[in-house]
Order: sequence, then structure tokens, then C-alpha cells
Amino acid sequence: MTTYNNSNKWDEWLRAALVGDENAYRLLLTDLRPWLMAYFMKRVHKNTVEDLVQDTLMSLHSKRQTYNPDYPFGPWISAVARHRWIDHMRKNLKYIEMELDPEFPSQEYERDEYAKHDIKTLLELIPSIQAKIIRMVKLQEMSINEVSKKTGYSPSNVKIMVHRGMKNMITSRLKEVHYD
Amino acid sequence: MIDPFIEKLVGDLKPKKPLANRMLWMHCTGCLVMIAALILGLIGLRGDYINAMQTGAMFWKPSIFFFIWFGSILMITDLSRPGSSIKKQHIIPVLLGFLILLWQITSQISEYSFQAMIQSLNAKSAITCILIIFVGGAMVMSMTWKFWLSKTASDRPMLLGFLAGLSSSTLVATAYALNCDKDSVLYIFVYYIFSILTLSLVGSILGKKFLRW
Repeated sequence: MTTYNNSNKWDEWLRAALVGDENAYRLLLTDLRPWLMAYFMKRVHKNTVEDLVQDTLMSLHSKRQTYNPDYPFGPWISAVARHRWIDHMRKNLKYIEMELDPEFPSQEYERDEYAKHDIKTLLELIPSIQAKIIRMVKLQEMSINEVSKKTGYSPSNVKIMVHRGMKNMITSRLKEVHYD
Repeated sequence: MIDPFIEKLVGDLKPKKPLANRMLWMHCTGCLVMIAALILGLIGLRGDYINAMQTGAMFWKPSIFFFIWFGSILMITDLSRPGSSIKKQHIIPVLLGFLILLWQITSQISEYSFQAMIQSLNAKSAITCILIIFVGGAMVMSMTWKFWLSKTASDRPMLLGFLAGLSSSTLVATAYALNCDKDSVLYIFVYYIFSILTLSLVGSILGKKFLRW
């Protein structure tokens, strides 16, 4: 599979495609497909990966004139893929359901005050609404439905916010460790 | 293995010229020259142009809009491609335009009474000013839309639409300022800025709807 860092031939193929070289264009699209599959696999549910790959290839096709031949193709196609991904997220956010992480410490150490203290510290790193919901679900041990009734968010949204909040906590903590 | 989807795209391949910023500059400069020639040819320079040259109004008034126009074109070229953002230095011309306006506000406040400024709003030319900037700007915007904006792929279509409205209306305002003899900053604020912001707002609404990709 071609990697992003080894995309010199992509530059050449798209430059050739811009003047109408069908073979170069075919090579480019065929070579890009697995890269895009890997890109979206990391970001969305596997059922929607193929749709997003096709959307991105369509965008490449219709907006290829916005590629500046003086610059590398890699950042340009990543920006197109990212745009398609964000657009997809914006359209489908309310339908996404995610499972809670079963490895979350509260299940294992739910009565451990130290763990709760650590979680409280971590909760300060994320947006207040996500922290509030995680606090209710993980520290006060309320069910998803109870939290949903109390906050007015749908159960799916509650699950999403818990999942995102936890992800944010990890990212923020990693950043802190990195900067330390 | 043949992928039918890829084959379909390959079958639809036609040569395309990459977007080149110089083409937008040529288009916009051409529009500015054309609009200036139209305005000067049809309604001429302001009657008091010798006096306006001596007081500087002949220069500072078009300069306000010229700098904003110049900056907005730079920002359009920044935003036209995926993953791109506005370069900080490209905001400088727009700020320069506003600085000239600010300089005029401070100098006119000490020079003229508020009453005199209010009176300047009663000028009959106000409607002409609004119409020329708005209608002329809309015509320029539609040409720029067809020539450039419809081919772009911006991550911020609404802002791009706003800038399209801003650049088109300031382009016409630059040319019209050569004819208009109302130099009060209140007049400029109420009639010029109103028309410019209205067209920019229209541009941002159109951008949100039609520049998404």
C-alpha cells in the first residue's frame, strides 16, 4: 500500500491526469483507494468506510482543478478526505451509537476513592457538559436512561458524550504527559 | 481487478486547468477597470475634483475601498482550496482600509459639527450610491462566481461567499467614490458600508448554500 509519505508518484499521476492522461488517473485512483480505506477505518464505523472512500474519490474528481501542481498532493488529498469525514460526521452525528469502554476503571474499582479522585482530576481537562455526564454515569452510577431523563439528551447522545469525553480525557492527558 | 467505480471516473476524465491565482487577479482587475470606465464614462468624475484633489478626498475615499477590495481578493485566493486558511498578512490591506476610515473619523469629528454630518445624510445621491454599489457589486459577484468561485473547494464556503460579496461591492465602491462628492464619514458609514455589508451578507448566504462540496 502506498503511504502518505511516499506520495511523489501521486503528484506525477495527478499532474498527468489534469491534462487528460486516463492511465495515470486510473493508477492514481487505484493506488489511493487502500490509503483512503485505512484513513477512514481509523475514524468511522466500518460500514460507512466504502461510502466515504467513494465520496472522497468523487470530490477528487470534481475538484481536481483546486490541486496546485507546485505543491505535494498528499496534504491536498488529506484535506479532501478530512472534509468528507467532517461532512459525514456533521450529517450523521445524531445516529451514531457507540459502546461504552468496558475497561473503564469505575467498573473495576467502583468503590475505590483514589480512582474517583483521579477521575475527578481528569474530568477537569474536558468540556463541562461531557464531565457532568461522565460524572453521573461513572461516579454516581446512574443508568444511561436516568441521565437521559435528567439532562434532556437522548440515550444515544449520552453514550456519545461519555465516549467522547473519555477520548478527550485520554488525549488531554497524553498531551500533558507529552509536554511534561 | 477492474473497479467499476474507478472506471466510471476515468471514463469521465477531461483535461482541466488548475486554478491559478493570477487568473482571479486578472479577472478582478479587468472588472475594476471596466466598472471605473463605465462610471466615469456615464456619470463622470466628481464636479469638484480639483478641490477634492487639494483636500485629499479624491484619494483617501477610493483608497478605503481599494484596500479592502485588495485584501479580500487575497483572502479569497487563500480560501479557495481544501485545507487552506487565511494568511495573517493578507488581513493587513483590509485593516489599512479601516485605518484610513478611522483617521477620517477622528479628523472630521474635530472639523465638522455633528449637525453638519447628519445633514449630509439627506443627500439625494444616497439612493444612487446604494443602487450602484449593490447592483453593480451583484453583477461583478455573479461574474466572479461563474469564473472562479464555482470551481473552488473551500472548507469555509460561507466565509468565501462573504468575501466574494465584500470584494465585488468594494470594487464598485472604489470606482463610484471617484464620482461621489459626499465626503462625510457618516455618509460613508451609512450608505457605502450598508450596501457593502448587505451584498457581503447575500454572498455569505449564497456561499453557504452553493459553495458546499
